[in-house]
Amino acid sequence: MICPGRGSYGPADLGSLSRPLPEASREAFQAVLRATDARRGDAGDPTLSALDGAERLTAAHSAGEHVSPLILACTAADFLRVDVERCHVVAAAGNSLGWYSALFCAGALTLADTLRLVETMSGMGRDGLIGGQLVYPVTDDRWLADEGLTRRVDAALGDTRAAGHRVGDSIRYGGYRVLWGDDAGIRMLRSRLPRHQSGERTYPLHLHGHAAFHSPLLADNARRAVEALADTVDWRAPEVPLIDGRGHQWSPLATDAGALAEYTLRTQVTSTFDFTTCVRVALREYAPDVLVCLGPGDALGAPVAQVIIRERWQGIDDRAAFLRRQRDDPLVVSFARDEQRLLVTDA
Amino acid sequence: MYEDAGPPATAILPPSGHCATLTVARMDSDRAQAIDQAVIDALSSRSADDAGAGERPPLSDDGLVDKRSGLRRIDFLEILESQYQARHLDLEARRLRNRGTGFYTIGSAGHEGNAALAAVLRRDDPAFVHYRSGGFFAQRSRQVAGHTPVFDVLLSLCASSEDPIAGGRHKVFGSTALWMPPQTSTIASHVPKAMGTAFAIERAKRLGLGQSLPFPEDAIVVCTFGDGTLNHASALAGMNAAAWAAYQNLPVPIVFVCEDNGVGISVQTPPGWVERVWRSYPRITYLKADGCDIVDTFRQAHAAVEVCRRRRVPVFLHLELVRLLGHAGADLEITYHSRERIRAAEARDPVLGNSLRAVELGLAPARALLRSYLEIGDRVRAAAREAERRPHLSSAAEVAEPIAEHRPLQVMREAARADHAEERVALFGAERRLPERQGAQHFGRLLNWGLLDLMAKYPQMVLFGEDVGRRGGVYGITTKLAERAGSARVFNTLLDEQSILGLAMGAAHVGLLPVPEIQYLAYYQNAQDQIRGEAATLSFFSRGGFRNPLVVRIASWAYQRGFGGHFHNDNSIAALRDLPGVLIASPSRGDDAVGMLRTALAAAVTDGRVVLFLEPIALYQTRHLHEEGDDLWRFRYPPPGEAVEIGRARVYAADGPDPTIVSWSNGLWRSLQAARILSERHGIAAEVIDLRWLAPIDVDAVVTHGTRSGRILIVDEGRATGGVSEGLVAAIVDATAGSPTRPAIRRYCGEDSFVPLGPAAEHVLPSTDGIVAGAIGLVRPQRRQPPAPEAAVPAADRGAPAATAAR
Repeated sequence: MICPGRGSYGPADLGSLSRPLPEASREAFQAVLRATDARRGDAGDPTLSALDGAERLTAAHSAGEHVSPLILACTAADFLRVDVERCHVVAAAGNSLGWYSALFCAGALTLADTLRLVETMSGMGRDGLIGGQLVYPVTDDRWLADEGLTRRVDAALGDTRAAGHRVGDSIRYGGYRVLWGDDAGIRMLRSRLPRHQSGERTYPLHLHGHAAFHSPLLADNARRAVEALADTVDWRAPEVPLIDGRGHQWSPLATDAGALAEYTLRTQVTSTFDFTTCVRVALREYAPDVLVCLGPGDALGAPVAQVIIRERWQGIDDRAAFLRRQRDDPLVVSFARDEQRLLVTDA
Repeated sequence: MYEDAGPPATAILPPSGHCATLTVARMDSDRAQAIDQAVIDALSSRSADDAGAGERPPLSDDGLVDKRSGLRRIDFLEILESQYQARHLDLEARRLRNRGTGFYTIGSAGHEGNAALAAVLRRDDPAFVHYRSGGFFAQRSRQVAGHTPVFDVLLSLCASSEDPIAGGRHKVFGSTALWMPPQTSTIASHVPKAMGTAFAIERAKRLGLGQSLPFPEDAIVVCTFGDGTLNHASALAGMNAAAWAAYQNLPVPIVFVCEDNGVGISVQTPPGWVERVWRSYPRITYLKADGCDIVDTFRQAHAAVEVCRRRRVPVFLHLELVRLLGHAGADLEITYHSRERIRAAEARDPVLGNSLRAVELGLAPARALLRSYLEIGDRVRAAAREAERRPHLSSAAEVAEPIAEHRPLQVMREAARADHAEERVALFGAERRLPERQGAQHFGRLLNWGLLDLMAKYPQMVLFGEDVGRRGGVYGITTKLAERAGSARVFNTLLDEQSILGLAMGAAHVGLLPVPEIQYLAYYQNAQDQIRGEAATLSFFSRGGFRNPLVVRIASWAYQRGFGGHFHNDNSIAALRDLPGVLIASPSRGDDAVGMLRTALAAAVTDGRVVLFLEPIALYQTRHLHEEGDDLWRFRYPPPGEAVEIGRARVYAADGPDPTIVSWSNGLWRSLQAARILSERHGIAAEVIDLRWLAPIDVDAVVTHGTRSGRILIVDEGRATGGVSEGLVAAIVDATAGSPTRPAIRRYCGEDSFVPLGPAAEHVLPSTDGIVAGAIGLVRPQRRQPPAPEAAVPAADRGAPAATAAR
């Protein structure tokens, strides 16, 4: 199970919370959602139900403090839709914000606690974002590593650092590098990175409304998170193995819950989230029949596929081979695609 | 096989396709299945007891399982999980073998206790571990996020070229990220270098190079082996050397771990033997643990590591454990052990025992353990299906690719680098005492200066061996070096060549540049596996991930006046010549020796090469060439910046060359004498080629000159059989195949004898007169020379095999 990060909620996801849930989990989920909505309403924030029930995306949908808990709720709902009779979950993972969702999917946190965690973390951006993020691709059209693009990114990072700005890798995201920087650093990176067209997108792509996640710039956020959440959340060992943003595995049997809290609240907040390694470890150490990308959105498929190609997993060695495999017998199951979702759910 | 062999209904192994292997596979799978099922059954029955307790283990309270060692509940469970992983990989290794996709079944079953050892070490404490280290590997992997031990081990079992450490060249436990140089430890040949690494850590610190160590300064070394292997000379040598040093209060931070399962393949280790010997060994702290029990192993391993890390002393940790599933997959234990004995070992199965212990101690409910055990099994099986489809090595070139790096331009640039002017003056004492300002000198003096010069250039260079300290080496080559460069950089070792070479490899591992001296070629032969099996193979078995650059100086060859005999004048280098990737230098004159030594060290530094540097004892002090007093064998010191290219011969040309004499070392010196005699007395203008490097050989030069002259006489002071000339003839024949101008070739070699003491040695070694006669014989058909005088008939003509390849 792989959980998506920020930026995954798009127009097509509107209304996804009201899609049916299996009977076994429906009540409990909706109770948590109601409680969250009530709390948010009291605080003057748009409720998750209202956000999800909107006709179209609004400014609130791009504010981290609103969209992050919404994404978590959608991911959690998708997870609850997985037919566990047919689908034995061998491990859970996520990208960035998705790590918090994975904590819920793996049973390390309750949904209520996970929501509180996400609201706390994303709420720290209310007083203004620290730095920002931008994306640049490092694979070619066939999704094979492109050394030239990698060198461009490294050179831009080097130049920007040399100019005295703070920049670095935020997320290693399959065929993409997500970079963090302070405001001046992001500006300089944007000017230093040559324009690169890939598909409909033009890079570097600045992620509006994102802070310098997974960077030392957020050290103070991490400190506040530990203060607020280390002891007040019921951290538990997961029920299925978790693979984190370093590729470290947290097993049900041998997880120190305190260490899991420390990693979640501090380590991954302030250091690079290596989603590429995370997926690599999932492949090599668990060799799952399928990798399930939970919703919202359909953005995880490409970076996951790019890692599969990098590993030449099951002989898949470029984008065309991946697409052929997907057509015949999908290795990556995306909840956003009806025909694929049906492989792991009953609706 | 047994009436209680486990329920056949849950067969794990697919049926074997071939009758011949069916019996073996079934008997083997019976026991594999039995120990697997025993764990499942035991945990299943306990699960029923705690059915109401829920599946989640009791949560972290950091409760200590063992106060003394600080073993926490979470540590115990991690170690146990590592043991599960190792066990399932063993079981899978057998299934892969039965499917024909796996190639190695020597397993860790019964030895999984070494996971507890890994738990008390750091990931960058250098670890030289033996082939039953699955638990250790799994556990240490936890310390490096993103490491994938399950898949990596499976790739290794399948000999896939994608195996990250050996790339399909051997099943080893190794990893650069985990600081585990690859070993198989089948013959304990890793023990001397493990000792050497420990010694060198401390030596590097003493030299002020602690900051450049590839691990923290308080790192310790761990070296594991079995009770059978413990009897190997190399194991005893390594541990003796550690004790010898510790006895003089030299720090040697190493934990030797004997994983004693009581049997070496089928040979029983006498009960009590290991403890009897090692409990009382001087200056090695002995600790013993029940290796089947996580708590006891952790406790004693923790104590061992504490003592070693804090006091920098050698420790011997004796883990008593069991071996399950025989020596390897193809080993039928029932042919030499009673079923009672096999059953007794299985009853001590650490995976079973520690699982039950975890339940009893309340660390986790049986259901959680069972689930973990089964799910890890599922994971391993699933990953194996992918691993067995991964690519294999597909060509000889791909196999050989990591043997040695070869970047001649960079090496020559490094050899010529001379940016150590100040350091030179400091070591030589004054500008005016710099060696290039002195007059011509003999080989020994020039080499002595050359070594000091290189010590000025390389602050990490260390020089050691028997007597190299104040005595200045067996032939004075290291005279005053200790005084000038310091006794921490030039020091005596104990009299054991395995330990000297092991120390060299260890020093290389920690980033020093070791130049060990071996007193005599025959002494090298005594320890040659340290180079043959270890130093030469390291890059091969690690895809270049680990390298041990070193230059071994060996006082070599015969012709020594007033001394000699086989052990001091050995002339056989057959066992050196076939080492892939190893360079062999054999200079004949002092200026070449200096230039070649510069290149040798540059090749070590730049390309990580292993170099054997053979010095001719008989020419160390030789001053003359043709007659006493002519001073023609003394040369000026080549100034820094000059170096001799690897594999480049030196040609002593004559006008109208006929024939070409090819030699090196003592043979070269005699060949030059012969050339003058040929010229002055016989009108033959012979040209002489000094190969200088015996690996690689400058075949091009030999063929070019030999083709021009039409005749090649090879003068080989080694034995006729297995010597350099055999290889050289073959190389010339290969290089000139089908050529109408292929030269006539004749060899003049040492006899297939051992070198005797005193003047009798001359009977079995090439002589100047013999070279003259051989050359005349080679050119006689054209020149119609009168028969050579009786005394000058070469040894080759008196019965030694003399290969002649006709034109």
